[in-house]
Amino acid sequence: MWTWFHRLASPPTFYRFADALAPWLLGLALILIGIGVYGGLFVAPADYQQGDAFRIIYVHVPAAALSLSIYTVMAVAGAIALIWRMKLAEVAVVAAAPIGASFTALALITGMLWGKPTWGAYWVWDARLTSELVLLFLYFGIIGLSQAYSDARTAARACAWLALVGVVNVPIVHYSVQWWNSLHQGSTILSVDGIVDPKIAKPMLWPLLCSLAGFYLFFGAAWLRRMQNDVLWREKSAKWVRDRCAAT
Amino acid sequence: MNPKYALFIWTSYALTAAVVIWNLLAPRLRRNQLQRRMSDGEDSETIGNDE
Repeated sequence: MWTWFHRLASPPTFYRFADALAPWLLGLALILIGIGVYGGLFVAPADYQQGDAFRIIYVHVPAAALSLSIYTVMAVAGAIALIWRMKLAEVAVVAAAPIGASFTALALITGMLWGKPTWGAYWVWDARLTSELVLLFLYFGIIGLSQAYSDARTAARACAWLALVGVVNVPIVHYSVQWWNSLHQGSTILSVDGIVDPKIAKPMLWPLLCSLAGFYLFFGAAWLRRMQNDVLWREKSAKWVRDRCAAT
Repeated sequence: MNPKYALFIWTSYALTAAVVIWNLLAPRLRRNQLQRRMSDGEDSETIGNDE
């Protein structure tokens, strides 16, 4: 298995692997997102307190969960890049940042759109909202750093450091609703209690699980495609890239 | 669906669709751009200068 991982770190092998895997991930992701969105909009019953406004959960929760997961993945890849100086890990950090930033912004905006009918305000300087906003700025910082150096490897290492330092914000975002008084509701399924005994009714739960799985697979597909682009450009003088360009 | 909430709900879903589409299209456009630049023989770019 380690040999397989080692081989995967080679750019041409990774490129072929991503080419084969990404369409499957994307296809499955779109099917699951479609089922989740349909179930959330048309099958799940309205919430007894929030009415139909709760249906925003089917896009807000996956976006928020992804925003935290992507940053964590970037920190892990950053550690690998800094410790073992693996090029593919450097590429992984830089390629994930725009996707993470887009889903963090989406989580914030859909949260605002949910907050207005539920709390009566689009924005409050609440611990959960503020720490999520800090997460968005961290993503912007990584995107900015990735473009601030002429050397791609130096840029990637700077991004890896920021990913590692900034990962301290991830548990702050997640536990903010427990550590401080918050308008924001607690975790529905992303807690030990939530998994054993979900706080959401089953007709509302299954579309959320479909949507969550779909968005995670979608991230996988988008990440692989962005990594392929970075690998292609970094390896532009390699024979396998020239052969590939000549073939297309 | 209660029309009181419709604007908030549909705006959320429309923005989600926009983010999904952007994440699908951006890498494709970038790849086309890279392939064009490589076939034109360009060598300098911020992301790409490898050791």
